[in-house]
Amino acid sequence: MALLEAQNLKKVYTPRFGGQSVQALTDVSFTVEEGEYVAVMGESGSGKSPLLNILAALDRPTAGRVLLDGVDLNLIKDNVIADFRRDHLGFVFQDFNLLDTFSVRDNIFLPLVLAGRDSREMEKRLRPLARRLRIEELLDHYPYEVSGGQKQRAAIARALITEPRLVLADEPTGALDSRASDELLSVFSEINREGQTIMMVTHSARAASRAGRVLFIKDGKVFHQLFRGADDYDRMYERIHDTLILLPSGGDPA
Amino acid sequence: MKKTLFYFRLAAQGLKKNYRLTLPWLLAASGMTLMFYLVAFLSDSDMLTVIRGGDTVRVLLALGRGVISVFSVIFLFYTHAFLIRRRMREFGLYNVLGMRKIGLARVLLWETLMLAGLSLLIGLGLGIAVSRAAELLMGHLLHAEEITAFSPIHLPAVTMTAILFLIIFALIYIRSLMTLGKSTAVDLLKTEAVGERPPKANWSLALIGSLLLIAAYAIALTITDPLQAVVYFFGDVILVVIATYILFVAGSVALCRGLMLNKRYYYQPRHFISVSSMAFRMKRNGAGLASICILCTMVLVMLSSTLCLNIGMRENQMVLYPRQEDVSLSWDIGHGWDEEAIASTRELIVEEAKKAGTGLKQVSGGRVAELYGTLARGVFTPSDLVFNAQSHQLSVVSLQEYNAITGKNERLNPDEALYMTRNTSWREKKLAVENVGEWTLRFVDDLLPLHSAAASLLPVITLVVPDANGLLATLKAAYPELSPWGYCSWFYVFDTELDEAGQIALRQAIRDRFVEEIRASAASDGSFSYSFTSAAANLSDFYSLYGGLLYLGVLLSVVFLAATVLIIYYKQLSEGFEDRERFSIMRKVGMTRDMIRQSVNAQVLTVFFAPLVMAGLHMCFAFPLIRRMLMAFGLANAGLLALVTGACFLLFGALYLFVYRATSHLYYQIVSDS
Repeated sequence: MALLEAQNLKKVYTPRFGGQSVQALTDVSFTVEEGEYVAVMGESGSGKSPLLNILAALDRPTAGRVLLDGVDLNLIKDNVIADFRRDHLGFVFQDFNLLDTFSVRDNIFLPLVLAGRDSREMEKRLRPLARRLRIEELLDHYPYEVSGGQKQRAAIARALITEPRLVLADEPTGALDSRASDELLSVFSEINREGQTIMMVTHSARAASRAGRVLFIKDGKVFHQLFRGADDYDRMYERIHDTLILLPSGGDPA
Repeated sequence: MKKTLFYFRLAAQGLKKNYRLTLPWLLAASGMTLMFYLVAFLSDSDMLTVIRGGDTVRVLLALGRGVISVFSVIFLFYTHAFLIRRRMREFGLYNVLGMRKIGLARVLLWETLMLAGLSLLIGLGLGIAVSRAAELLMGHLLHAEEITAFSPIHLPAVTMTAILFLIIFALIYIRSLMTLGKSTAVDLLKTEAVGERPPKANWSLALIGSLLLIAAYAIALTITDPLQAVVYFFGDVILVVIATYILFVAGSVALCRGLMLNKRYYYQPRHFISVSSMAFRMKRNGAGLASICILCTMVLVMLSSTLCLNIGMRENQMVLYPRQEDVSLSWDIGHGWDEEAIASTRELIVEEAKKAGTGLKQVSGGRVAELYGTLARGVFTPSDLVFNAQSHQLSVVSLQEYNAITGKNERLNPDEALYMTRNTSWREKKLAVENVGEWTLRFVDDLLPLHSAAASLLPVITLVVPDANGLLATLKAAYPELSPWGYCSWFYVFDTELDEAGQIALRQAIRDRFVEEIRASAASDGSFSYSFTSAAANLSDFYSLYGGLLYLGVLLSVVFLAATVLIIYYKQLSEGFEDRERFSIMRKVGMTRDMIRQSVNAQVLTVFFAPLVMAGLHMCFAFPLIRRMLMAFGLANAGLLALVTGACFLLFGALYLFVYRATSHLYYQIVSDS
């Protein structure tokens, strides 16, 4: 059974006071297997963000359904959906979304504290994670005191500390310079090699080239997908590039 | 010309678009203008010239005018900083879009002019509209006999108000220009997004704050002398103000940091978010919260003490001066009553009354020995006049005088006595006077016209004994160094058929002749004192002083309350804008809406009610000090003060709750926007 299964997702935004409704997703279906590293690519307005919001259970689809571990997200009641999200999903955002009122350590602890875990257990989980993400020295600093790359690594630690089934990343390199981006992508590859399932939305071909599979979205539909196979990063990058060039013309890239 | 119109319209739009910020500020500024105009107008009112003691009220109101003007400057300047910080982003955008700083300065000028014009227009307009009502209310409180003519627009007051507020607005404009001048376009755009340094606990400062507060409280508790209380009160107030600011700014952060160190407490969903964000909030809002706390305390102290004076003193006057005229002569206790002087004074009074064309009615009075000392465990020990918890006055009246005054026919055995009390609820079966004797007591509920004004400073026990002269003789023998700790007084009180002016004139005539004919022979060694009081004169003095104080107290309370409400409103507003972002992040990380609401509710509630609780604490410790001060005014009824203070606190708490409700609604509206 696939870890994540999106079936015929459709999303229509209807303005509250009448007006033209907007179809963000037309018909999106795909599956993600356990241990996969999937990138979703598309231009602005292609429907990437609505898709991610639906996968993250932050929003509900107009039609279709999402199964995580065989559980239909539509059927989870509103009052427990936040718990479900916290226990099963990890998030990494473009603008980090660290709370400025907490130290780095407390930002990483936040989901565990919300889940009511014991403080010793939190500390035990944090230690190896902090070493792997090289943020051990930053733990007692505040977000405003550390660099963008360090912030994003802290955010990854926060996403991973709950040991989620799936990590959802929304443009994780979007606010980073190229060196910090490369570092971050290496971290992603590394945790993926250790078995973590990752789904990343991006419009950077360089970021997508690290993934095992790339889904292209256009006009609310999955337009095409690429598998890495045995290709290295550079070869993959070229193939993504070629696909992107073809995308606007609507031609068949195959 | 076209350009001017452009800047004008930009300024008007800016004010309109930010109505949530500008409207309350405009209202507050108008309110301050209104209050200042009213007080300036009243202090120059013709009504004060026809009221006896009007000059006292004039001085009080002038004092109030000073307080309001200083307060207005600080308050409007301070709150406008908040307003301008929010606007700077918009100005940054204009700057980026190509408007030069000189243009921005012109927009700011129009904005400031509009705010100034509107506040003056609204404030002065309303002030002029309600000035007659305010004057009549003052007349009513001061018991003015005559309603004077009224000119609707009082030019000197208008000018004074306009000048003061134009200066304030000029200062505000200069400050805005300085903020604008030293920043680049990017600075302006980022004004709000500056990364906030995490608060560090300043333990030593927190300790200093606590020590200062403890010291201030200790002073308040240890001072027992009413006159000293008045002197120390203002110093103590300043100490409390400083301590409050330090505690709210540093102490609260230190407290939160301390809680964070306790991991088992801190890493719990309920405490985690509230403790950490409170540490942040307190750092930024500590000063605001301290201001709220101080303003609350000021309102409470002013209202409860002036109200208490008004209620309590009226009662006091009735007891102290039950008759229109009140004459008393006092000799040192070692000297005893000078019967000759008493007889000739009585004759003199009857003659003068006849001259004034009136007979004497309801004549009463008699002899009383007033002793100072301490009362502990049913034993009274004579001593010098001091003020501490045990200080009492013992008034000794003979049974013969008592029966004559009350018309009763009581009989007593030599070891029996009747007693009455004032300013105390002391009730015992027996009373002993150290080295003199002991009596079995029976309580009677009479008011004898045998009180000097000083009697209101202390708890008084009036003892009616069968042989007062015998008691005094034993006392003299037991305390040979008899000194000013006691007086032998003679009281003579009566009504007349004269009107109030006649009563006051009669008092003057009697007094003049007394000084001329009897004073010199009554006692040459200086241990003699006398007082001639006309209740009518006293009452109007009383009304002008205490009525004036109450009126001023109410006016200032309104000003401070308006300020408190505005500070609270801005706090909620700014916190709402800040928390909006945090809300959405926490939701993404897996916090349910309910959890967020609970946590935020708890924080807002704590932050909101901390100043009120602190004000309550200040009031509790200020209570003994205020009590002593009121004693210096001649009011010793602690029960009344407690009641009035409690009532004021409850009323204020209810009002505070209402403001909290209204503004937290606004807060939720802002955060749920996301």
